[in-house]
Amino acid sequence: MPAIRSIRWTIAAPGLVAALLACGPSASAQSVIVSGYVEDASSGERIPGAHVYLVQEKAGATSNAFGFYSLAAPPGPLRASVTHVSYLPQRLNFPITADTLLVIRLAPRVLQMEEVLVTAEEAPAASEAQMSRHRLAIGEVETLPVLLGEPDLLKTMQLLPGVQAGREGFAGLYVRGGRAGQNLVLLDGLPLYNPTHILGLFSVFNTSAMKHAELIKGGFPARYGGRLSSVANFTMKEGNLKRFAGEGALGLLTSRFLVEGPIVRDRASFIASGRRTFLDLLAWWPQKIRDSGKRYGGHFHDLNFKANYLLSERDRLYASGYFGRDAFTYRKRYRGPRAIVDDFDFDLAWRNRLASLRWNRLISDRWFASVLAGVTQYRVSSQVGARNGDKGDEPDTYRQAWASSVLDYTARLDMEYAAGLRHYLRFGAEYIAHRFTPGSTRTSRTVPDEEDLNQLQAQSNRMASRDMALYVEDEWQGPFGVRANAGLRLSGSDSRGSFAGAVEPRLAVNIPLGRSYAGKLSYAYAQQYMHLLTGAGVSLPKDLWIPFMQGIRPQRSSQIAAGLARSSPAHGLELSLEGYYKVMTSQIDYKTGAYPYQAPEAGWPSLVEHGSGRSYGVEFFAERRRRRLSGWLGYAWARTTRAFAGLNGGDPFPDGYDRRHAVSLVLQYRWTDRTSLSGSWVYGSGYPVWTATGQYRSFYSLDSVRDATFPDYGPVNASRAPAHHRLDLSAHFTKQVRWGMRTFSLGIYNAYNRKNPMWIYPESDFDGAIRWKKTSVLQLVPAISYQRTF
Amino acid sequence: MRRLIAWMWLGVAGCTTPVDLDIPAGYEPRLVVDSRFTPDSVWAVRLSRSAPYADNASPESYAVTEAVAVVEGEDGFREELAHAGEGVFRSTADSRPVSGVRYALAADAPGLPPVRASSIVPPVVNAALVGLEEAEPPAEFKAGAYAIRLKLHDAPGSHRYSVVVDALEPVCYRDEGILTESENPESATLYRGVVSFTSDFPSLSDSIFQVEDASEPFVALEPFYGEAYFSDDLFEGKTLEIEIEATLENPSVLTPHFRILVRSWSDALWRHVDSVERYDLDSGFFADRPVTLYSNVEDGLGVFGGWSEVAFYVDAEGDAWSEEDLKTGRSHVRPCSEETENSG
Repeated sequence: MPAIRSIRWTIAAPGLVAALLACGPSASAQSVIVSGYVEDASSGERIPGAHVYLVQEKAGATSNAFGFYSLAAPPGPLRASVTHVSYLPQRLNFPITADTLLVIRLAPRVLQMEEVLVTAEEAPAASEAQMSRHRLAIGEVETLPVLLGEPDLLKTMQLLPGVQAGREGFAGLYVRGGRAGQNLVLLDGLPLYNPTHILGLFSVFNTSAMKHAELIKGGFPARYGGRLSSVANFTMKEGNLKRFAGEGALGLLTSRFLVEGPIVRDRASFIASGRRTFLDLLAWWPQKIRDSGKRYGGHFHDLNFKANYLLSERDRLYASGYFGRDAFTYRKRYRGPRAIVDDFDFDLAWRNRLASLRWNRLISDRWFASVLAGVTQYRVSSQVGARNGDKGDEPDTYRQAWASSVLDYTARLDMEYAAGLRHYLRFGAEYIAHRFTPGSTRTSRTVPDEEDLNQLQAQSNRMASRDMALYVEDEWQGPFGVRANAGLRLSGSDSRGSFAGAVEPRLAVNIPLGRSYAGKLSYAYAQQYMHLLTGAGVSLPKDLWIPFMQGIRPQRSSQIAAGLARSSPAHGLELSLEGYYKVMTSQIDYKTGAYPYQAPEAGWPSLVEHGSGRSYGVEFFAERRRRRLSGWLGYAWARTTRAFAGLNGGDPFPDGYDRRHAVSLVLQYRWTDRTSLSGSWVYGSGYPVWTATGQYRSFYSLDSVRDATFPDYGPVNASRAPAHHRLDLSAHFTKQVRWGMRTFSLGIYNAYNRKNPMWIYPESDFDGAIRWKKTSVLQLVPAISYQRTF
Repeated sequence: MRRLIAWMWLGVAGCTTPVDLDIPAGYEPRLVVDSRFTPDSVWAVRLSRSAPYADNASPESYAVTEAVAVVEGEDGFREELAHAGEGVFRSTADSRPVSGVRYALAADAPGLPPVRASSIVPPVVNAALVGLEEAEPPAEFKAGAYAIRLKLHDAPGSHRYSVVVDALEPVCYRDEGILTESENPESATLYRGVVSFTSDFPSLSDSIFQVEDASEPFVALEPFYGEAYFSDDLFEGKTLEIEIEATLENPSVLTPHFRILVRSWSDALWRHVDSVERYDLDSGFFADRPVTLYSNVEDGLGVFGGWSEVAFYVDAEGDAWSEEDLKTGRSHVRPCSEETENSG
């Protein structure tokens, strides 16, 4: 049973809030406010994304990232339902006469066979104003078949219509024709700039530590900004307030752990989790045995931490952190007869670091406030070091280091106000101080006793910018069940002496069409004050972030989408059909032959081409949620083009991730209470390839003796790679054991051994003619993992 | 680093198979210019035409034999080059480029868009050979190592260099323990002896792109073979003293005769070779955007670029030798009989 409390609270509204109220609704006089939190009944964790639906009023609210909800209802009997994909639905039926603070506790899903997970009264997707949003059930993600048994939230998002993965096996997100740098990837409210490990093969999100994941592909609410194409929002678990719990898992690629528990029961809790690959440790012994003086190594690891403290019934503090790092190393230690020291080190590393402090306050039954301060950093670096010298001498040293980084300091205020039956307001402000270093180098040479030979060369290409934004949203519930979220975002940025600003209107409308159908419409204008530059060829992980500046304008996009949603709760079905049209301007790309190392001398504006992009498509999504058989079918038809003055003669060309058809089928079948099977099949028509249309002979060497055939590249992305498809399967065997639960998982990635191209390249054959080859990896990759929870 | 990345991917599990791509038709050929010039060479430009991708004609058929190719220098030099066969247009007056002068080429061939290009011949390299000494004596089945010291005086401004170390093909070599004389020592081809070398100047790289792109630190896992590249970033406007430790790969060579070249590159040629290296390494990986070869030829393909170099000849005993000596019979290369006495 939910806990129910009534609390009277009086507060003097701040001036800004008073102003909003003055131009706000007037219906509140005839309504009472029901607000509070949705919590996990077993752990006390707050649940974001839960849908509280008033059955008679046909109105509802969704709990925010901190589990808070608030809605207005007429005094009298209240009939409501509360649903969430990972929890048992809850029905409420009681009278209300005054503003009520209601904490709703949901039980995690432990259901009977064939129980429908969405009940007849909820219809969440079809009743929400927001469209183009997908919420992932973390528990389901963990049972999907995945590469090397590593559950991956970003790769699950790739199975949604309108999302491209990039190359086979990668964890990239290319949403509705957007680029990787146009996604706002948030972890506990702070952005991550490169959310992947191993050059993009896996995402940085350790599913064990995640509570909530959602992807918004269009019609972004005004509270989100700074990126053009999508919002991928991840929230870490808060930690169990009631008891200590944990989890450990061993897999082919990584091993991971999680511990959580109360610091003060029902008042403060923590969660800590870690994940690491052990391939480097496994390789250490063979290298030691061989003892060639050389060592190779590589690994990645993640650490997540979060703690929260209930200061009072209305105040809660959160502190969270994430640290993830990838590292590859090479070490050579040589001791020879002449040169007693001949050492060489090579290091390549990239890392994400993030720390935040948040204070949430329930000011009154109607008012909710959240203040966030945080810092996030992404850094990629490489370093070479050498030491050599003769016997008895201090060795000469040489060091060359390169690094690129983005460092953000973020401050953010979010306010929510339940203004009455018809209006729910959100407003806030955001300030981000960026420090971009798209390539700093430091080269030094030290020769003992010869100071005139000591050299140091350092070059730092540091740039700072400051982004500011104010936003206001009104979630309006109109007559005939019409719902809308109308918002405005005022954004601006100060970068290298230039200022740019924008008024960004946002709108999402839901119009009920009968009992089960709803028509949806959205529009979003967004401005992004930074660019991600991707080099030719092997660019990962060397993509460089730069701010807008004189000569490089902020990028902009406008997206309009319309669709139809249908809920069939009796069958546990959700259907949606959406079409969209998106225009992106002020896009940049490297000019042919331009490389980032030229920036200090030439300046960034002279290295880039300016252009635009256009994307449109249709997406179909059908999702079934039942105890025994769940899953979804997604289909997308899309077309994305780009146009740059200096590329392709200025003519539009297909974007590198322009894929006409994409299908994904995901099925999860619960065979018995202890055994579940899952499978996913994806199909995508071929992506564009920029191939040569001509060839020519040219000398290969200075002596003009050897020559070779080189390609003359023709129209950009005018050719197509073969279609891509793949079947992944997995089985999970769960058993209650003395100390909790154990899960043994088996899986296979690319079960029918499809040779999908990871990359395509030209190669000269013996007869000198150029032919195209594809390299396929990740064929029939098995997965095995063992997990214990307690 | 790129190789590291590529091998890492392949290590996961990879296979390479042919793939059929639908290549757009309608290609329009362009004029290809090939000219790498130095003060030591007579003016010559090779002209050819590009062809459709699927063209299976022999490379010789690409040669352009009818064209007007004119070279002009900022010092007033002007000459129309004459076709000398196989698409090569050469100076009939034996004219040579001059160091420090910028030249422009204009070429026009029937049926192809006319092209223009320009480049400078870098000033004469100001370098000196300080000396050579034996670093490690030769042993059975192991060649000796020799420390060669050079001085390079760098002028103000940004410059790009390379150093080449090679050696004379052995005249006298040990074959199954028996000293054998080359059948035709007088006509022995120069510089076929493979030399590996290391240096105490650590910013030498085995590729241009590693010199230029600090995000691509060189990985000098192995010694250099043939040529190593460097910039003057660490000694701009100063004198660099550099020691090179050279070893002939062939242990049967008894008296190595080294040739050391120090080259200065024009920007056009340097960038072209840089792009060729990137093309070799990157082409097609991840396929977002292919690496296209740098060309300073307007409306055409290829490169028109200059370089200059200085050469030093030194043998294992530190004595200078010259190609001229070989040609005139005054070679320092001793016959086998002397080698036998020496080695005995």
